[in-house]
Amino acid sequence: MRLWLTIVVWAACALFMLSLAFLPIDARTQLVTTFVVLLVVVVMKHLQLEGPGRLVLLALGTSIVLRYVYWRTTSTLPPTNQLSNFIPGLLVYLAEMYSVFMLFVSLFVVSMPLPPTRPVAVPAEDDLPTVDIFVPTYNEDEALLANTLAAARNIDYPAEKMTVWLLDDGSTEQKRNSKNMLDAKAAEARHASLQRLAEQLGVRYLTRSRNEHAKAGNLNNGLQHSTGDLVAVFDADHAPTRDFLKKTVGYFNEDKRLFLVQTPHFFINPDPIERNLNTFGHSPSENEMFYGIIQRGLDKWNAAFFCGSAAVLRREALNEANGFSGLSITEDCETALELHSRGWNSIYVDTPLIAGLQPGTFASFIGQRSRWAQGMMQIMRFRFPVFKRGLSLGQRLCYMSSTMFWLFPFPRMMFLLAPLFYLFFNLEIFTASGGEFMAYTLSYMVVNLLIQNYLFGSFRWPWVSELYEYVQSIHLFPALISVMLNPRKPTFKVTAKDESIAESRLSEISAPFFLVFLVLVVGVLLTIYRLYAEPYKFDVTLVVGGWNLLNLVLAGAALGAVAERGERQSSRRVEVNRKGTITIGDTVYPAMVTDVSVNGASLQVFTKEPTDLRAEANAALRFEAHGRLEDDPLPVNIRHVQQDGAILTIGCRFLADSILHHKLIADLMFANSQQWVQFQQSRRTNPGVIGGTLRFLKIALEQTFRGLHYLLRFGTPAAEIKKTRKAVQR
Amino acid sequence: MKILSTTLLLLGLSTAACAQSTPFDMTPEGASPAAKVATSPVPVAPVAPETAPLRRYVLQSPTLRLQGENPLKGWTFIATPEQASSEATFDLGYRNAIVVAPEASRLTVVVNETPIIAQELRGGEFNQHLAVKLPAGILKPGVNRVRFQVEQRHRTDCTQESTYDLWTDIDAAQTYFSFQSPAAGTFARLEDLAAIGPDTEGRSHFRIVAPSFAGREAAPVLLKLAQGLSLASASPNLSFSIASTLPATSSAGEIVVIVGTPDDLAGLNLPSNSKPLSITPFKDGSALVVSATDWHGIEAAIESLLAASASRKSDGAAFQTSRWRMTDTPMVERGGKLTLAELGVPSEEFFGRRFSTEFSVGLPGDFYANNYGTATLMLDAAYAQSVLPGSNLNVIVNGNLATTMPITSAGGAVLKQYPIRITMRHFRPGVNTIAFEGLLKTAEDIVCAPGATMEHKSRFALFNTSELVIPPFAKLSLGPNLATTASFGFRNQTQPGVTAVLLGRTDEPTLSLAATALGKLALAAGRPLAIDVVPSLDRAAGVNTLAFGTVGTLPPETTADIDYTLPQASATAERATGGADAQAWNDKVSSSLVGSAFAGAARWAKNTFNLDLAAFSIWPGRQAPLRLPETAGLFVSQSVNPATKTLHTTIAAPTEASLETGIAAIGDQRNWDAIDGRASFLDMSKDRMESAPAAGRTVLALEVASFSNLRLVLTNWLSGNFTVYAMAMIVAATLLGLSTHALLSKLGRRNDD
Repeated sequence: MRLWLTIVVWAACALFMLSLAFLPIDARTQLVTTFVVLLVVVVMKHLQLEGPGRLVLLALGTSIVLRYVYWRTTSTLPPTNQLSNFIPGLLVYLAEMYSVFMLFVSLFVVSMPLPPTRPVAVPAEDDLPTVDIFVPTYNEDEALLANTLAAARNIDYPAEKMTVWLLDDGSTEQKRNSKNMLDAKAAEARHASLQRLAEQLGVRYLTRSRNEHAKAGNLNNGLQHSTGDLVAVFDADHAPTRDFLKKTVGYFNEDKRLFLVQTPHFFINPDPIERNLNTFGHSPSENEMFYGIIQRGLDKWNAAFFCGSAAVLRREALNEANGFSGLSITEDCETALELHSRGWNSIYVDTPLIAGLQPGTFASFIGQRSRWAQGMMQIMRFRFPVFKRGLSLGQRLCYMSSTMFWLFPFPRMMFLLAPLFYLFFNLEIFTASGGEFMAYTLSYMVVNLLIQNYLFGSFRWPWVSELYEYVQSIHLFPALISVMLNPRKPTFKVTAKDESIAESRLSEISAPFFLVFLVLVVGVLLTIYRLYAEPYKFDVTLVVGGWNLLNLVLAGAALGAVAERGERQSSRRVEVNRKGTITIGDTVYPAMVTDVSVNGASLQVFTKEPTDLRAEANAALRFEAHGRLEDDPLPVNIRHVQQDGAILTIGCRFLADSILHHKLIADLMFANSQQWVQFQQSRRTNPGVIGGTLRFLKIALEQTFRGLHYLLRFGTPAAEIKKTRKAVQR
Repeated sequence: MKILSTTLLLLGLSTAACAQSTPFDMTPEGASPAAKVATSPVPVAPVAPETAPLRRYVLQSPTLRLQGENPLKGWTFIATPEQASSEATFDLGYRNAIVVAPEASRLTVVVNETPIIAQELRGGEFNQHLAVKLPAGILKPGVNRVRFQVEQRHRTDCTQESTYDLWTDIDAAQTYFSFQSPAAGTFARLEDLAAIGPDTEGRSHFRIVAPSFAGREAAPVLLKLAQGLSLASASPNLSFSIASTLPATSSAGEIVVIVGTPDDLAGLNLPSNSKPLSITPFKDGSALVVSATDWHGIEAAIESLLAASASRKSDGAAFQTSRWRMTDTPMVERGGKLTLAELGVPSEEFFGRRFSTEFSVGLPGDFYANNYGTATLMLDAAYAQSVLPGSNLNVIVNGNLATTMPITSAGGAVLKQYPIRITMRHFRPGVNTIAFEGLLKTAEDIVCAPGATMEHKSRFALFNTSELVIPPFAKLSLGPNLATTASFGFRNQTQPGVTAVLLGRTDEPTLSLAATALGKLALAAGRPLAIDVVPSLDRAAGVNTLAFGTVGTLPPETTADIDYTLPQASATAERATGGADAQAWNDKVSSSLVGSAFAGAARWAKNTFNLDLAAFSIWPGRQAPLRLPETAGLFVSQSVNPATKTLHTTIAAPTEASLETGIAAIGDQRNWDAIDGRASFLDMSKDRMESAPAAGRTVLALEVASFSNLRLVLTNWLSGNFTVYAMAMIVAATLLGLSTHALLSKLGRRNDD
């Protein structure tokens, strides 16, 4: 009863707002109103209001957006009898309306995100459910798998209740019997070595006869051979922390209809764009907006979805839906959608409990995003969530938001092209005066930036969304067209995670970015020419030229994003703080491990005496393990030593030759979830709209020149591609 | 044909000053443009002065200025059957700017679609006079149409600015029909009252002679008569005088109306007549006599006069403006489309640099969209390849530039239903004049080779399939609104009923003023107002009132909205010559960088959005009385009694002298049409009406109570009171935010789950 009353009151307020915003008031009133509203929004934003204030701020922003929508719809479309203006004008209009629609849907999603974690009682040892841990693999190398499996085995959970499974799709019978002799031999060798690895680590090895239904099929094969109550899934590069299960399984006891506990995908290395722009470590990663806010917002509506890894699922629920769905190439989201529609619940826990690897190259990054975008399109096509039976209204909206988000390349390309219609072809696709543009469009853009910064400020800095969307759009646009024309065509491609860029070069798919940049530069030149030559349309040229300039800034930053920066280290170091000792000969020195990678570590030894610790010497490293490991040393080879007063800084390489050594490395590197939390928190600051914009401009300017410099240095983008390993594709 | 252009006819009555012959002839041999005249006028022999024929003047103002490259003015006039059948000549006196190139210019006078004069402009600064004999049958009994059209080109200058220097002034006193038949000067029928015609100043005048006008019964009857005469003649620029004695002479543009009981008229030596309405010879012409045994009888006679000119105006009908402009003005009652053809604009091809045309559109008395509304001109036009981008198309509404739209593409184009948005800020109830202007730049004009201005290459064409689209607009009757009163004579503005009329004094000037104003109001309303002459306003509660007089003779409440106390002469002098000038100081102080940035922003806001930051107020304020300047003469003011929703209108003057000059002035159509806002006054120094807008207005009626109209009414009000809109938006957002929070807290998972 009370709920109905609230709904009626809300509907009345919404109607009031709509009828007020949709009055055809004059531009003067618009200007004053948006000025006043923006002022209030800025003040409220600085007060960092939460609770009701948060919704009031969002409603104020909404009012400006609604004003813009009304004006844009009623006053700015070119007349229909000028088709050359009207058609592109309509396309830009539709692109904008899509953006507005997505804004409202995402406002719904993140209107009241749940807190990052909810307290849960860890069940008593006897009540703990049995868990099967699946690590599906296709082509990842053994060392990577060894770390992940060792970390999985190191999870703090009763050994008899936890089984780790290596689900190997890289050496199926189909692969081993390949007609290509080399492939068959490689699969045979992989089969043998992974079996041995599994045995040494105490992991069950499983493969199957045919590679059907890709990852979903592989997981389903695992389901058929296992019996645990719960199933945890880790991608081959996702090494879990020791407390992974302790922090997740408790929820399943509390809610019998819970099918999923998802945790964030935390990455210890930068994605290619972060690496190329050199922003990793200084600003939040691109995926933090999704895992930091959006999943929590989805969780409010019981719509947090499975992201393929770093999650625990209930076998009973999976069995009901006949396992993981494999209709689309994003089996994870599809499975969650199916189970949500069957009345199962999900929970999102916002604590990084795995550490994963980002794709190594820009091309594989784009490959990964293409899979997501195409898969989401397939879900839209095959399982249109809006009309899916069994979903709540909130879930429908949430899934619509999650899938339709991936249509962004269409508006992004429209916004890229729109100013060019005018600058190159003199088409007038947006009929408005300079003054109206100021009163409506500019205020709309400003309020967008303010809302974005208010909602996602410390998770996503200003203009980063725009850059990532632009960078992806160039290649996702054709991919989307392809999946729309032929929805069953895309197949699951495993994203290569272990490539690295040894030497600086241009990405092999960077050519279009330079082309677009060139076109936009011509657009800027045309703008300048027109400002002088055609003073009678100064205001329109200024506005359109400004828009084009904004595109150019993005396109310039993108040149940096596709100019692959070479890295000396092949694996990423993470900062740790672990006490230990280093033994050389018979001398034991107390040491502190300060950073670590899967290949080596840095130590600090406090000593004033001369030591035997010198480059090329072999030593033994011991440290306090988090897990229950034997007190065995990790053999290391010292690479360099530097004395700085009383502090001796030592860089060393691990000489891992046994499974135990992999376990030690995994413990040293992956066991502690707190270090991931701290790392994330250190980057989560909010520079504000102005600070963020200035910072972005600086990056864009630098990266434009870096990109152009690479072009001059390395010539054509496709030449001289050096990969440490080629991604094997199915 | 050469003869026509060189032969000037010196008419006996012409004054020496205007009877000059052409000082020189620049027409190339054999290239007279007069060859195109359809009906060849024949030179008329000079007429002896003693047989002075009747002159029927034509113009609506002392001079008719035809400015620009293609100006066109025209209107209709009424001829009596006697005039139509009489042998007639047409005289034309004009001057034109010296910079007009004669060989490239052309003056055309068209009567009833027959060109009677078509020739080069050759006057220069000297007055030109020419006369042509009208071919028989050109004039018709009843409505006739006359049109003055000039095509003029600058001798040397190719700029658009120079087109403003191109003018031809037609002189009212020198421009007339003269009729040979003596009967043409008399009239025989009541309908012939409409043929009153203008005088040499373009004004028409009814001289009411009522020896006993001061009697208690006389005033209401005489005022009713004035309304009847106004309706019967339907003349623009019409004024009345009420006097007790006959004038010494009769003159053009004037009809004498003699009113009284037989006793009153006994001393006037009139032929005896038993009919209450009769026409009698008077001096050179005729006079109308209204006579009965008592004033009731006279009133009955006036009723029959009114019946003859029974209401010709109904709601939604066109404004009958063709007597002083090209066409009648169609009424847009609730929004709609009108093609330029319907608005009387011809399709036209244009060769010059500044194309200009004009049309008018009528809006209802409760038009209420000037804060937000936008009309659209769907333009069908073409411009030639020679026209450069940067040329402009302008729309000017009631003298205010409403839209400037640059032509942005080179190479010529045919525009089909090309939308030009026109702000409705300058629209108002009644007749609105919309001018369309095309400022055309070409490369040739930039070079401006000798003779370039004479080129006859087509640059622009306007097709009258173009449409003026007025969207459905807000309708709300508000008062005070003098524009509505002047255009509709209280029709639809308030409840119909008797209007109480208060006369400051029952003397000749006050009665004449009341008669003139009521004549105007009756014409605007299309029917006479029911009036009740009251001795004081105390008796007039609950009805509309009209007060006439000088400030001193009227009760103070009638002039409460006007501050007519004249400032001290010394104080004014000080302000003009020295002392501290706040504006100058403002300018000085704001010349700093920040200051000028703010000033620049303020100027930009004013120009772009009509946003006056200096006049910024949080809530609509109440208005102070309007302070009249020293130069103010007659004024009109209006206030509303919010309780009874009645309108109280005062037409008065500060002094007796200004009252007397104001009578004819307020009768002038151009002044009457300029009445607007809550108060208007005649600025004697500028010879035009100035108006003060109403700040706080009272709702009189909401005739269309539909949702869509209410929404638009709200829109207009909020657009005028933008701070209220801004606050309302914040309130709405706050409510929405709070209710959304309440709703979302109940839906989905709770934060404390």
